[in-house]
Amino acid sequence: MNLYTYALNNPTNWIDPFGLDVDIVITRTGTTPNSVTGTYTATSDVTGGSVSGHTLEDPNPPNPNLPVPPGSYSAHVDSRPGRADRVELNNVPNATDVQAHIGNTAADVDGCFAVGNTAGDGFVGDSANAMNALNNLIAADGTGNITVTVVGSGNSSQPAPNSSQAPPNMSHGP
Amino acid sequence: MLRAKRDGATASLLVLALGTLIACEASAADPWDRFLLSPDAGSFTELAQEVDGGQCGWGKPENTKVVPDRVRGQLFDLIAGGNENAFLIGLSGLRCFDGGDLEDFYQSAGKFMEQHPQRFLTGVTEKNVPERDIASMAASVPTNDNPAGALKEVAERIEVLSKVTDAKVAPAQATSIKALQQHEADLKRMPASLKE
Repeated sequence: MNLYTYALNNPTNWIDPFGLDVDIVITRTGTTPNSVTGTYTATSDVTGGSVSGHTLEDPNPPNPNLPVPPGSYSAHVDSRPGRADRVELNNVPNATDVQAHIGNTAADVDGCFAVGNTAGDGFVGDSANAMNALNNLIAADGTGNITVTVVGSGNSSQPAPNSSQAPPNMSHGP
Repeated sequence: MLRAKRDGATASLLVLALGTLIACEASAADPWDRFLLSPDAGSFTELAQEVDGGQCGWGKPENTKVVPDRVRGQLFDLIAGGNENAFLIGLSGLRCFDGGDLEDFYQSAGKFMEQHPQRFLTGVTEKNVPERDIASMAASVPTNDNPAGALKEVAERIEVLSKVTDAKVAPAQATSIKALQQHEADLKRMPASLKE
């Protein structure tokens, strides 16, 4: 288990001043004309549990303000009927209803993240189980506080993955 | 006797007040409620005048005023069930949807297309829906982590769309079939190990 994901694997420079969150860190690892691939790790400060897997995004969704810009976002589990299995990011600039949910190909996402336990070139697999594991972690944590930190660019117009720009909800350490 | 008459008058007043209250409640229900309760021509005409998608845009607060959050799930269900009025309302409010809600709309429109390919193509053509959106509607299948099922559904959609012979909708038809063929190729390319 990586104990430093809450600080973007860089505890010297970052601290999480809020604590007691489910922290989901999505790290983009590659972009092709058809997909943005990445990995995620979710940890519960309450239970100490964690889950990890792969993410997939559409690099050119209809909303030109997406894919989600790098940064840290509060999030919630969508409580509307039929959507209870989705984690929704709050306050994404000029976008709404950005979620992590079940999906397999870029055609399944238009600005959201598909999650999966397995991944290939432009695909994620075993997605329902990955989403269940994520929701179970959130339910077991029980705080209802969820933070999603997106690391890395989803397209060429956004900052590079190793940008020194601080995500908005993270603070520099001592 | 006088007492009885007073009681009768009071009762009449109460009935009148109650009736007025019920009538007010009924008329207070907005056009969305009336449409979702009975998505017929009358409620459609009324709602269509209300839904001004031109007010909507990426991240705008008007999005949930024009198409309220509370009605979206029911609207998408009606569209997926093949209701043309609901589909046309959804097209009018297209730019009110974003992210997961936009994906839900695309998926419901795709299910509508399976049932009514001609009406789907006519609707998107008459409403000048951008090609990007037409392609997404055509190719979006329910996200239930079932690539084999998605592949079958995509093949069926290509088949039903190919049978449409109306020249007026040919551009939308070509866009839709192209998007489906691309999605079919992607799904076939997906390694078997990821489909399990």
